[in-house]
Amino acid sequence: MSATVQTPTTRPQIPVTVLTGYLGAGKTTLLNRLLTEEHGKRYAVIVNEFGEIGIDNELVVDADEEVFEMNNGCICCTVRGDLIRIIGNLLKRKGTFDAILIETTGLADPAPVAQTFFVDEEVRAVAKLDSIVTVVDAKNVVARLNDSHEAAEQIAFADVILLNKADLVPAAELVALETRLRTINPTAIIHRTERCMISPTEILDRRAFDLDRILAIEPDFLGEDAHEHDDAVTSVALRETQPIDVNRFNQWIGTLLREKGLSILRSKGILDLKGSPNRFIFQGVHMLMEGDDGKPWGQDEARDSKLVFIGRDLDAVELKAGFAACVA
Amino acid sequence: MSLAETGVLTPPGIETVVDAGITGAVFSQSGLLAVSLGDGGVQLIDPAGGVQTVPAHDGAVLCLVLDIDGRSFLTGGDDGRLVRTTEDAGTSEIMRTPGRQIDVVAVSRLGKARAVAVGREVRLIDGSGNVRASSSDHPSTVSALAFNPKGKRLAAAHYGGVTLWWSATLGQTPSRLTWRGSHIGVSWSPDGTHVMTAMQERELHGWRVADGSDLAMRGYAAKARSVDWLAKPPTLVTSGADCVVAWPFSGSGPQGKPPIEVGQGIGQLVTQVAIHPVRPLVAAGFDDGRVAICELTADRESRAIRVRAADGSKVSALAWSQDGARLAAGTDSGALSIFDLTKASSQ
Ligand SMILES: [Zn+2]
Ligand SMILES: [Zn+2]
Repeated sequence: MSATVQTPTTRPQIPVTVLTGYLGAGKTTLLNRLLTEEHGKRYAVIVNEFGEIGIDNELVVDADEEVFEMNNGCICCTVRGDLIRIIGNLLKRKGTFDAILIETTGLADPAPVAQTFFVDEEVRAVAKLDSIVTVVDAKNVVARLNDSHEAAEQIAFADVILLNKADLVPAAELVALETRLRTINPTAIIHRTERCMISPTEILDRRAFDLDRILAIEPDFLGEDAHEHDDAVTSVALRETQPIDVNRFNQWIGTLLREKGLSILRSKGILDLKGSPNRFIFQGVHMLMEGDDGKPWGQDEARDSKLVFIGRDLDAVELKAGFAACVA
Repeated sequence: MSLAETGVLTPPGIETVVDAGITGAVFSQSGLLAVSLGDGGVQLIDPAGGVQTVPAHDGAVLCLVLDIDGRSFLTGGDDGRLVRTTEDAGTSEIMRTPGRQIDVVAVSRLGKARAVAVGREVRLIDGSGNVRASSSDHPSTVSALAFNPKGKRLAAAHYGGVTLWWSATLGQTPSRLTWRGSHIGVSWSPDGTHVMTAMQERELHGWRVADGSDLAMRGYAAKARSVDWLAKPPTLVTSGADCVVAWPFSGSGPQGKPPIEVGQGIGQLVTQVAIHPVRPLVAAGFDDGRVAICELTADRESRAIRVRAADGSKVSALAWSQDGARLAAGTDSGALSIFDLTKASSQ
């Protein structure tokens, strides 16, 4: 037998949105809103507390969060076994879905959910991680950030942050709060909400739009503290204006994620690869990553490459030097 | 030898398209074919081609097996229900668990028992529909169930291995067969000596029940979701590669030996396998809709015939009638072929 086979072309991948956030932040409110409002879309929803959803919807499935380590023996390489099974079953239904929504429990690490969509071939063939939405309670997110690892990780993984209960916090405090969230995660879109009031289009099927935000981020000015080693979740943004050599980049990012993947929570990038007419888009969670050709560069468009790392104990100087060495 | 060289057979039969993906197929003792669908329906098709459609579930039917009596059918659905459908198209609900997907059901005709998984709980249900015993003593969701050939033992697959129960005392004193990783399918060898699992990590694992010693078979391109056993000589036949991969269990077992490979040359993933009930033949369904029938032989070159052409949909169900005269193949886009092989002529 051979370890590779041709796969016939398949239907388009269904976008998957992951909802994280502490208990009481407003996840259930948001889910109920998405399920009840008239939008003409068909969503499948995978929840962890079936009883909390007050709606009798046949597309709501109850899940037990079953995080499995993969056989490589690494503690950060984990997947959600229950999701693999449930999504496989959902796809047997007649008709397709506009989106799949996955709610995680309050303290859950979003990594295993995201990694499931990178690792499992059957899931990957039918569904694609679109975005991670983190709902935070504007009133007590600071306290949570100070007393737990999980809160910072949920911020770090977010593509969209709903700063909920914003009406209960003075405007000046909200600005300070957003600044704090930005130091953890500069790429996420932050929406201030009351009772999770937001249009579904702001959180579902976002990918194409959100990637442009990576390009908009200014690269870090690397000052004195660039060698700082501490436990806080921070980010490093890098930019190169010369085309990147694909082999050098693969070698570098592969080694980097293998060695530092425990502390690098998320990585994202848009690259100008030498010899390719298209943007190369990639994202990673810990040691696992996926990459794809994006839309072509315009005729007169200025090309550059941007990378963002979010994690603990990031060595900005080393990262910058490593990326610079990938220039073709 | 490739399939193309060996030949193509066009047996007469029935070709239909139903308007939902096909999730399972099984023949009853009397030759009635049941086909389960992604829209919750079960179609009952008699040998003359007469069709009755039974609305058994809301949402997809996730699993379909022949019931204890050999005449009626059991289905689990993503409406959380376990439903019995009789040959005359009557249905009755045996279990209801809202919010759960019922995708794991096993039946032993010898042991007169049915087993169903609800999350990490396993329930034994008797012929009258009563829950005779249940246990949640499993480390994760139960992903597969299989009775041993005599129907006295039940194997439940989950993360980290398999839990073995005695049917008579389910819930008490389990024995555990452990192996790190997620086990997604389970079966017993026809002589009851081995328990084999398919794994998330695209390999097979197994244990000799007598002493718990491990077996492992690797090299698959995909998860081996569909497996079947040839009784004599005992051979485990699997999907998950670009050909049918068969592991002989006679003599010293399959460990350290190359597998028998049949049905090569198509270059597509085998998604379904089904052993002929009488002869050493295996039907193989492919990722592109092709179906082939292959001789399962180790000592000379295997012959194979293709009975269904590619149509771009994946073969998602494959079943032989109990006399081996008919073969049913269904795809995930709702194409159904029923071949009458007694009347086949080669082209
Ligand atoms: Zn890892
Ligand atoms: Zn340093």
